[in-house]
Amino acid sequence: MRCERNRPLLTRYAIGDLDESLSRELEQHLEKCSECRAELEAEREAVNLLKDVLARSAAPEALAPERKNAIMRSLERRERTPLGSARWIFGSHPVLARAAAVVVLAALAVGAVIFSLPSSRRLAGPAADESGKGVISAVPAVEKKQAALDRAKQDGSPPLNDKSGRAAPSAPGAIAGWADSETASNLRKNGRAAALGQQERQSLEEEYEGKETPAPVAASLARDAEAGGHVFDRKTAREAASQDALKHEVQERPTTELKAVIVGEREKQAGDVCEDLGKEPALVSAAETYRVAAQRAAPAPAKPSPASDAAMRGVLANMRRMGADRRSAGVNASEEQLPSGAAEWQRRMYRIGSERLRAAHEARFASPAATDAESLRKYLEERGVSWPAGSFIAWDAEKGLLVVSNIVSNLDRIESIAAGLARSATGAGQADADTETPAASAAFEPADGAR
Amino acid sequence: MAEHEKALLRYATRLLNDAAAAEDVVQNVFIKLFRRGPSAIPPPEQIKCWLFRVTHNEAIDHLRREQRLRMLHERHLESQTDERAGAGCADMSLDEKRELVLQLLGRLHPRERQVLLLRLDSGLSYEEIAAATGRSVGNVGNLLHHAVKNMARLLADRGALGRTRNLEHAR
Repeated sequence: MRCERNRPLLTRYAIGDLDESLSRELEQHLEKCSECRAELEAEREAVNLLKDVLARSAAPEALAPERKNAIMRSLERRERTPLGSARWIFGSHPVLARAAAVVVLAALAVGAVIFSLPSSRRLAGPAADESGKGVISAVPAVEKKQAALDRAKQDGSPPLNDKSGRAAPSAPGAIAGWADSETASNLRKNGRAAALGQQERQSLEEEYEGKETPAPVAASLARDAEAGGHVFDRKTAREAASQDALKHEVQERPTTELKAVIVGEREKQAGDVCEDLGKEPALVSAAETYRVAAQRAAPAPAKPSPASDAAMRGVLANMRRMGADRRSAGVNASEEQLPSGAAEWQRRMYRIGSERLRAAHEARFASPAATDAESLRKYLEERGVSWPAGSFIAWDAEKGLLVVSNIVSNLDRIESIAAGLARSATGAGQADADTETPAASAAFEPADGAR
Repeated sequence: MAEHEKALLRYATRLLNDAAAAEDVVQNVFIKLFRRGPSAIPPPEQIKCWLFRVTHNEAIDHLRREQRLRMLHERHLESQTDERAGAGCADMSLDEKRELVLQLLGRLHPRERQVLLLRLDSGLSYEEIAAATGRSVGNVGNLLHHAVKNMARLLADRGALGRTRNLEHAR
C-alpha cells in the first residue's frame, strides 16, 4: 500500500465508510506508517468535531407558513400565466419573460373582443393615441379596452359596429359551423390529440387541407402552436382570461349587440356566462367575423410578382398553417427608434410559430428569400408600404418572430396585404372572402394588446 | 415533500450559515420544482438528488449575490479568528468551537463544502452524492478527502484540534 494512494481511503476510514477488507488492509499499513497515522488522527478528529457540531447546530425544521403560501401563489400564477411560452419567446431572461407573460395574459384577456371585432383598431385606436409614442404595454391595453367601451357607451354608438356604420353581422342563437355539440366535442378531442403529437397534428392538417377548418380544431392547432410544449398552461391561462373577457362582453352589451365570437373551448363558457346573466346567447361564428374583416380590408394590393409573392407567402403560409395567431407583445421600443411625438407609431410583433412546428413545416412552406427581412421590406414597399425614418422590420427565423415598427396606417396596410396573401394561399385562386378560413385570417392580425 | 423540506433546509443552512437565507433558497427550489410542470418533474428515485443539486446551485447563486458583503464579513471574521489562533482547544467553549467550525466550513471551496455536508450532515451515500453533484463516485471520494484534510488543517491552525497539535509538536 502506497501512502499517496491511501489518502482518500484514510478519509473514508475516518468517516467509517470503508468496507471491512480494505479497512483491514489499511490498518496493517497504519501499523507501519506514522505519517498516515498522524493524518488519520487529524482527519478523524476533524470529522468527529464536524459531525458533533453539525448535529448540535440548529436549522429550520420547516418553511414558514408565509413562505409556503408564497410557493402556492407562484403555482397559481404559473397556472394562470403562460410563463413558459413567454420564456420561449424571450429566452430565459426572467424580467423579460415575466413582462411578456403579463403582456400575453392581457392579450388573452381582450381576446374575445379582438376576435369579435371587424376591426381591432377601432376599439383601441383613440386610446392608443393617448398612449404616447406607441410603446406597447399590456396593462394599458386592458385599460384602453375599457376606455373605448366607456366612450362608446357615452356616444350611444354600438362600439362593435363596423366602420361603415352598419351593424356588425350577428346570427342570434346560431353557432354557425359547430352547433352540434357532439361533433364539437369530438373535434375538440381530435384537436387535443393533435396537440399531443406532431404526427397527429399533421394528419389533422391534411384532413382539413383546403377546407374551412372547424373552429375547435383551428383553436386547438393555434393553441398547440402558441403553446410550443406548454399546452397545459396556455390552455388554462386562455380559459381563465377569456372567462373574464366574456363576462364583460355579455354584461356590457344588449342582446342585439352581443357578439361574442367563441373559439374552441370557450363556446361552452360563453353559453354558461349568458345563462348566468339571463341573456340569450347571440353568437356568431369566427368565420363570419373574418368575412367582415376581409370585406373592409384595404383595396386589393397590386398584383404581386410571382417570385416575391412566393417568398412572402412562405412566411404567411407558415403562420396560417401553424394556426399561429397574431400575437403582439410589449416590446419595449426604445424612444430613439421612434420619432418623438409620433403617437401614431407602433411596434407590432407577429409570432410565427414554435420551433418544433416551424421545423416541421419549413421544408414545405418557407423559401430562403422569406427568411430575409430586407426582401420582406422590399416586397411590402412595392405594395405601398412606406418606411419612414425610424421604421423597422426584423425577421427572426430562429425565434419565429416578425417585428415591425411603423406608423399605424402602414401597419394596417401590411396586414391587409397579408390577409390577401393568406386568402389566395388558402382558397387556391378563390379570393372570395367567404371561403376564407378562420385560421387563415387569424394568422395575421396584431392583437389589441399591442395598442 | 416534508422530509425533503427539512433536509434541504438543514443543508442550505449549513451551506450558507444563515437560516433565513436558507429558507429563501429552499423556497426558490420548491418553486422551481413545481414550475417544471408535471411532465418535467424528476421521477421519485431521482428527486432527492435533484433537490440537493438545485439547492446547492441556488445557494451558490445566493452567495455570489452576497459576495461583496460576505468578503467584508469574512475579513472581519479573519481578524477575529486570527486573534483566537493559538488559544488552544481547551480554552474554547463549546459554543465558540461550534461557531469556529461553522465559520471554517465557509472557508472550504464550495464543492468541498458540498460533498462534506452531503455526507456528514445530510447522510447521502457516495452514489447519491455523485448523482446530486454530477460527479463520479471516485471523484466524490477525492473531494471528500480534500475537504476533510483542509478542514483538519484549518482547525489545527486555530488550535481547535488538541491532539493534532500535540502530535505535530511531538513530530
